[in-house]
Amino acid sequence: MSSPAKTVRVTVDNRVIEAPEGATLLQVMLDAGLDIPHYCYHPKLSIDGSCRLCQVKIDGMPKLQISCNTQVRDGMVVHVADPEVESTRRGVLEMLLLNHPLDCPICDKAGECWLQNFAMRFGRGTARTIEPRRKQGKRMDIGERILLDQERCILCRRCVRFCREISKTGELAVFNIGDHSQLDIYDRRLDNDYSMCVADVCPVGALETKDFHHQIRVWFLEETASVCPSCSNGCNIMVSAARDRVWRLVPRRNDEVNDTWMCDAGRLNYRFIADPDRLRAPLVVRDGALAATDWPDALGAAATAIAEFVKRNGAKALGAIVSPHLTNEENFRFGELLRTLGAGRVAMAVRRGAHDDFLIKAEKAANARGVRELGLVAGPDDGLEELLRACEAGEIKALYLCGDDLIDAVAPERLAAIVCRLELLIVQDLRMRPEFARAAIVIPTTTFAEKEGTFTNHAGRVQRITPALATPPGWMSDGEVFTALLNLVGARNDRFDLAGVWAAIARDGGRLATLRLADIGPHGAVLEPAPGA
Amino acid sequence: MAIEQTWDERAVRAIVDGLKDEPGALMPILRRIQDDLGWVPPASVALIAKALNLSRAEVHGVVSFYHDFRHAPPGRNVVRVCRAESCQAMGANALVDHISKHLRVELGATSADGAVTLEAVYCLGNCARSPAIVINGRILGCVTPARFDEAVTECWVDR
Amino acid sequence: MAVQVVKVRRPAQSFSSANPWLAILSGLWVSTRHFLHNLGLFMRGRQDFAIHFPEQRLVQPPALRGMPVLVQMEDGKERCVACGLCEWACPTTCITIYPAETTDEVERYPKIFDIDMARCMFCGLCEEACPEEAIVMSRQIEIASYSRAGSLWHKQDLLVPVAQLKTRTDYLRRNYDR
Repeated sequence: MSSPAKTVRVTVDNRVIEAPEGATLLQVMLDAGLDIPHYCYHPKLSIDGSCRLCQVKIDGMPKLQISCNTQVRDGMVVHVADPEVESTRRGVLEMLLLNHPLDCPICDKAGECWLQNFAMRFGRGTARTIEPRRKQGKRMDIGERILLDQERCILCRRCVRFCREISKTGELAVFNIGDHSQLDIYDRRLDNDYSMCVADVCPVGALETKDFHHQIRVWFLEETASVCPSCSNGCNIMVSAARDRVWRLVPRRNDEVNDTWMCDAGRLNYRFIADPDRLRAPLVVRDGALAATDWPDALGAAATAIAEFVKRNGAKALGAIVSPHLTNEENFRFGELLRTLGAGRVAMAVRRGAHDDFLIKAEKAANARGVRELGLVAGPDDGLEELLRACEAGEIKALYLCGDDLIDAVAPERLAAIVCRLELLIVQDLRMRPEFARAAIVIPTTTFAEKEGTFTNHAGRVQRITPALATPPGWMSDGEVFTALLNLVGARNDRFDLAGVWAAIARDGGRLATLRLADIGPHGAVLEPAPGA
Repeated sequence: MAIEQTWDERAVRAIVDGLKDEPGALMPILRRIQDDLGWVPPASVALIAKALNLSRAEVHGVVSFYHDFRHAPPGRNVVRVCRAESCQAMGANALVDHISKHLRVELGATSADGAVTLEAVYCLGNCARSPAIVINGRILGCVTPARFDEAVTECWVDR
Repeated sequence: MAVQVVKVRRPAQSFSSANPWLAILSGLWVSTRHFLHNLGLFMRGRQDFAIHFPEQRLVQPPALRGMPVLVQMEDGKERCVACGLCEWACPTTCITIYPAETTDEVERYPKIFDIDMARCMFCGLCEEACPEEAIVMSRQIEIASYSRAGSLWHKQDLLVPVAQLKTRTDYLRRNYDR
């Protein structure tokens, strides 16, 4: 766009729409809420113009124009509700359906398929062809995580453009010409780190993820807006849940974070929610062995153990490891608890892994930045090395450990030696890990899919997560656990709710206090840059 | 392809290096390779893709899009018969049968001795003088079996 | 996901369905016809008008909607491809399906197909929703059981050979505009 501020007026079916000059007509009409069918156009990919479905009538142009490849001009008069446009759409859809196998009953896309939707809304309803449909490859294993069904493909080339422009790997292409055209890979399998996005961009069921293949019909899924917990990029996602479990994670558009993409590793990282080894009840040492108990009992035992320990050794001998997987609110409450106790040292362990220059970040936790912004930890390694040395030196004799990232961040022998030296170990985690078998109290943690709160991503964007699954009756989330402990040791009477915690955050006056909960919209809100940064 | 054909990698590399800086270099490169070698060796796809910073799938997509690009080396002579509407109406199919019998080669194949390749094309732009054929690059119109036999002796190459 | 309602154009109403009083009259005529028929039999000396179930059984008309069953093809497999439309159409959510993949040409089959007959109200919407004619309302109406678990029917119990369901499938094709 040459002059960014210039606005033009376009008339679509007698309705005047204002749009920035140079904008794509199709996008302008879609933004105005008009129902324009289209396949090949994708806001985050280049224009292809191959599906011919978005054609509209424009005054002064001799033929119908594809609106995806038309820029708006001032005074443009567009007709959509027009017999010519409608008959063209019917024709295009009939052509796309000529060789479509119509195997919707066994197609995982059914229910969210653009071909189904547009054929129902704009198509002619019945087929006129009597010729046999073209046989092509079905269930083709073209990648580690992707299946291709050539019969269903409508050759919109969205996936081809995704592989060329976004993943920059170029595995997919359309081969041959005319009615022999088919989508395929050439000599390289579709195994890039973002390969499953091709199933998202595919408007039909031609590209499917193996992970979701024949799992559940999409119309049973309840979608909840959330944030990917797998790395510090904080990609916006939808959690698709049904029958008390999560079936898939799909990216949600946020132009500031992930556009419409997410990595395969993040997308596949939801099974831990339904891990059969997950702790279902708190464990407390009774008669020398960990035994399941109820929540009030476990929290009472934890409060007593901490109080007795502090009486014996002083609060300075108490250390804590904060989890980067917990929300800002939970960690804020944990910080309050640690301040009330007067804990000696607080650190954070973060699991690290592969990263790239697109979406995948090295820190494999959603809220490491949030913990730092809350001021709970400091130093280049978040105080971990100092805390470990203090444990080895015997200065720290009790540890309140949240999460299991320590297992990856510390060498196994060193960790075992440290755990052996501890007088008291309280673990709050998803599973019972053998490394922490010496724990006196083990409290189950709650996953991102079961609670609400906010995560702060690597760039300081605070984003909300919402619960997609219900927790069992009597279950206490991490925030409720911290609050209950705070009530026990600090003789307070707090409840854990977002509004209350945010009021406390505002009173606390930390970096997070520059935001209010209401500021955090569906796409999050950015923390103001730190003074001096 | 079942048999991996030998191909002149040096020649292809020279063509690619000579043309790769042109805007939209893929088509000129492919056409030059086809002109010089008579075919586009499938193995050259990787070389072209690397030079043009395209993926191999994209290059193969273009090669497979144009039926003109051959995937195997042609015979010493190439006969192309138009089978588009106009020429079919003027007896192209009978002409194909005649040529096929006369040269002892199937349509779309190369004779066993490598002497001739018979190909179908769809419109040579010579509809006014249907049926049209091309023998070794020379276009002929209003071809009858007798005229074909005559022309073959004229245009034939046999190295 | 927001559910989108697709409006389907209904076939034009016939004269009788557009005029409800005709339906009342035709209903009255059925009762009157039976009355006159039985009256005639009585006049000719018939004493007993009851059917002595279970020794005697009525031949049920094909329009009867009994227990929904799964169509079993000649090769012993179910015709169902686990598309889930019956599950979605079911007003009492008595159907539970878990799909899975096979190596057959039709790559999908129901790994689990359960119908809770205690909840089923025999409305036939599953049959109407089915795109494969794989679930049909049988003429089986004796489905009492001694326990709640007994009223949960699994796939193997629900399978009925296609030949035995011919009356109903013929009826469906005739009357359901297929």
